[in-house]
Amino acid sequence: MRIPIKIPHLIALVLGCLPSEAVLASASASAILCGKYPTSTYCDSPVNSCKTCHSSPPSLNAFGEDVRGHLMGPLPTALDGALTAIENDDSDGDGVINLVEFQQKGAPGNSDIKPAGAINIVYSEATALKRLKAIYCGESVSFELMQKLEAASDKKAFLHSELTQCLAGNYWKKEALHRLADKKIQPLGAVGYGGNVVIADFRWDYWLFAYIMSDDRDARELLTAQYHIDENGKKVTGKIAREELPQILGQRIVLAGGQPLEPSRRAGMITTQWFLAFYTMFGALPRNTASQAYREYLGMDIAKGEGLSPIANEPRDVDEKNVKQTECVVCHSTLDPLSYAFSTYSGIETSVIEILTNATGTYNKDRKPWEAQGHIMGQPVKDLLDWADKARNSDLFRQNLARMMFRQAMSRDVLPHEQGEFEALWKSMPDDKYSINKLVHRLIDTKAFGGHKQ
Amino acid sequence: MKTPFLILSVLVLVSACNKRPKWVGWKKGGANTENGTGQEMPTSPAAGETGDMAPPIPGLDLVWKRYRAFEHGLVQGLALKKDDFCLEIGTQACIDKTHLTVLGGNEPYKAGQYERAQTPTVLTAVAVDRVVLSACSQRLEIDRKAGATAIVFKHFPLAGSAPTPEQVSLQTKELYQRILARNPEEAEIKAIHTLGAQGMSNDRLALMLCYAIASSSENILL
Repeated sequence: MRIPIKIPHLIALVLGCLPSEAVLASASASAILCGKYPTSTYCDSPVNSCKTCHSSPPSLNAFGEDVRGHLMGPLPTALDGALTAIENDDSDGDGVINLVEFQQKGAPGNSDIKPAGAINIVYSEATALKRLKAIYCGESVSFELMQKLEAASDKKAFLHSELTQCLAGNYWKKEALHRLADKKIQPLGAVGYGGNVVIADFRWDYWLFAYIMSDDRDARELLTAQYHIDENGKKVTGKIAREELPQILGQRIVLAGGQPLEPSRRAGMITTQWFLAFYTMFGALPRNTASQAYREYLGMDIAKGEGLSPIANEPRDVDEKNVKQTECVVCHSTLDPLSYAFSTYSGIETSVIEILTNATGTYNKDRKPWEAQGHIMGQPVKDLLDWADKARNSDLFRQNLARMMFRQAMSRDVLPHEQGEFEALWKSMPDDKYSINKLVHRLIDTKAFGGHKQ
Repeated sequence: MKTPFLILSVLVLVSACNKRPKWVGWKKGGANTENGTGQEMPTSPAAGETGDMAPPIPGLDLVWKRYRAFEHGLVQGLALKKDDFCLEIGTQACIDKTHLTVLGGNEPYKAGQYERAQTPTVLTAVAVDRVVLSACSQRLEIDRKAGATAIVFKHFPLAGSAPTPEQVSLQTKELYQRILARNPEEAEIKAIHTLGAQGMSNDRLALMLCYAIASSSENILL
């Protein structure tokens, strides 16, 4: 039986060697473009700004091709001139010139997105009720419930009452929130609890995620929780013993289990045994772990050229993976400093002693010497707890949570005319003490959720 | 019953395959007429090649009623048992297993599906048909045996003389309320009467009423 241990390493290598020119363009050009057209469609967040010129980095869209064709020198100095030169062109051929697309919430490189003009959208409580019951209760509305809504004197209050019941229900807590966590946890039954080769137990990840995301808890604990939640929903504050005894010989191999990391070193979802085992595996520098945390909790996918904030004199190639190559530097000057703080947390440990002591996912200050050399979002961090603290208090974290909940509800991204509502959503989080329930209550009040064209 | 569905599925797939993917935003210009139609061919791929759907028109987008809510609507509306109202080959749960993905769910643990489909796929309609037909058929058989104590199909006898227009209207109203949570409009009742005038047997008419209402887009897209 082979453990699929090589795939994340391969992915990391592939990511590290993406064509660099286009990615570098995204990193530096976004700031210039959004400085010139600050209210344009894709300048609401760094995640989106690439879309102005790229269909999917590194591929350029029609507008990006036009920009490239008009560059008269290096990107940092020539981009502004190129943008000005094509303001009166219609790059995507949709009948609207580029400047107007920028000014009126169009997209100059995507003919499907044009300035919408005046949109008269009205809010429908009936539509909102049907949607919220389906999304948050996993139910269809009944005729009787629709009649009650019709008769209600305060229809908005009626909706919120129904939503409160949904968010307290089993469907939301034990099914919908778990599906929302899938992409963050990426469970793999064969190597999880009860599998043939057990590297960790991902059930703890689901229980913790669903707990923090429900009942008005502070969602920032996704990156700071030093406790775990057991399968009965009870908080466990100390180390947690493995569920299965170690097995090295025989048909099943059980390397690890429980949550052996000392609580003072925990940072919520990004220090569970599963997260560290599955993403770090055997890596000296846990790039895969850091990039997954960055992607899933700050919305920045380095593989797509997002969230690049290069650190001077990086990458140093501390683990000798040859990442100083020109093609690799553009991402690794951000990724490697992002990863240093994870380097004192063990991945999969395979010596007999380590298996017997359940060392996978534990803290080991001597594992590698790079812990205090890290950076996130351009700021130095002394360790992973510092990393997580800076992450959880950032706008990126708030935007990512709000975007996740928006997508979960609407099965699509925020549309240009909805950006005002979306901005209000994520900016409300500190006032709401980072309660996801309160965020959802605000979400169902938006015209994006319950509106239709009049 | 399976063969027509298979044929339909194949036809739908073949039809889909005949349509070239739309490369939104191919860069205009460049008079390449290699396709023989005289139309300009693109010279480079541009926006949209990631497979993303075109964004919805503001205010006209709909929300997909995914697997659990869809299931709940049928189970609640037709008073069925969740565990066995639809089983493929008599053993495999339609919602949680066989058709989960195309009905908007995902199975992460064994299948490694960490994300759900963003929009319904070409196979969603086929899955909806099968689930709805199974649910309606099961309710029909239960009510046939129940006779006078039938719960859903109770407004005209399932065998015997043809139902009156009034009986058809009552049955229509019953199904609209149970499945779509509203009363039918006049035009909809007229359309149903057209169906009723086709001379089919009473039980077939009842089944078709249920199928038509429960598989309507209004029951899938909110």
